[in-house]
Amino acid sequence: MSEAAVAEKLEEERRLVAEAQAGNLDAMRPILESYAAPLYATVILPRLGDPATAEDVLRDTFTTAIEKLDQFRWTGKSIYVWLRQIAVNKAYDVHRRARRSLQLADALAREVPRATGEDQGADALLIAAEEQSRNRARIRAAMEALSERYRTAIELRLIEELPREECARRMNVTTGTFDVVLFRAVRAFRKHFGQRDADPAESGKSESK
Amino acid sequence: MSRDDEHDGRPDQPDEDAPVTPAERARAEAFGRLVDGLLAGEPLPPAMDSDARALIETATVVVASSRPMELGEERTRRLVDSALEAAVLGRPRAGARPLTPVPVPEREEFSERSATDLRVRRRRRDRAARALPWVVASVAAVAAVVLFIVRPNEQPSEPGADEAEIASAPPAAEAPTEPVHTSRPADPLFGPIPRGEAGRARERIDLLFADRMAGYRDLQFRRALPEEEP
Repeated sequence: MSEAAVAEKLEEERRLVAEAQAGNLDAMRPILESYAAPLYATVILPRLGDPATAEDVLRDTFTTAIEKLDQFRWTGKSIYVWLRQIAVNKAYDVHRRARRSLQLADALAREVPRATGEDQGADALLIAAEEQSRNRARIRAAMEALSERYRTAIELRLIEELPREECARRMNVTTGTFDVVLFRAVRAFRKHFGQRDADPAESGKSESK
Repeated sequence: MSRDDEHDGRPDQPDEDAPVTPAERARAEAFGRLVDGLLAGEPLPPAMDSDARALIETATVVVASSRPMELGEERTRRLVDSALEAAVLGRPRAGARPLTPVPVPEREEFSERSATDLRVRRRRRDRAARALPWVVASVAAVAAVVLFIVRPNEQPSEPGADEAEIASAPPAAEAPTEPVHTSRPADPLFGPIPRGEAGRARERIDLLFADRMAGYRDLQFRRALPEEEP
């Protein structure tokens, strides 16, 4: 997207936000509908892992944003940055409340920075794309600590999304054996992913491998 | 790939070559089906054991990090609608009409309790609506008790009060102080019959008969005699 297009889009966004702050909350609708997808896909779901909970968090994020809209101050950056911050905090809160898997939850939450950097671009979609690539890089870094067999199983099944039979064929095992390998691989990944941030020294060593 | 490399300086990992138990095989197969559903975009089953849920969520994180998982236009629209409605506390969507802003109380920034506060307020409202009929009934009962206490002074009721009420009721006409029972009100033969003599009617009938017979004999005798000259 060219700079002129970005500037025009930002100006339109600023006008809609001002109109919503003046009382016409319905003016927020096009903004929320356009940012729902990147918030869900790159901010919330990668932190929670459960699509239903991620939808609830997205709804809560929008509700909070609308309620606190009068506190938002336009600084020349897209309102997406502000929405993203709310979403990250909501995702943290879900993990704290659930207490189901604090280790993994904290690891998932800490993996991605809570605040966007000052040098972040103003375009929301660009921010979302950068976040997606950061998510990908962190998953790959965590997978580096797994054995090759486990890493291959995860790559074939969850990243390339091949069918089970095809994955088994490529690994020269039966489908039932591949199921067991994938099961153990995801368990290992989860355990490793949770332990990584528990020991920053260890996580630094793991990332260097 | 050497087994030593797998465990050298790395956190514990499930041993790849550990024997597979039937239970583990069954769980692995079930997990494989869950992953099939995940990649097909199906929702997770509502009931799952915690270990299976944790694993499928981990798998979801991996998948979501490699490619964006779409929400769908219709679901997005519904989600935004419900968020707008929730933000204005349940007011129906106005369509083209602008929504009036709701005063937002002072709160910490990004407080997690905003959605919770909405639910708390709604619960309080429902509780008040449920308690309202009881409040109205209580007020009515209290009012009835108060009115009963401050009611005008009345005679205490006693058994047989009905007859007393009738007796004390203002009479339609003037009544004598003593009840008088007479055969004929102005009959000179008997005069007023005291209440105590009311039961001696036979004697009065005999006397009345005798008197009527005497009068009849007298009349007959007078008719038979020649008229005397004055």
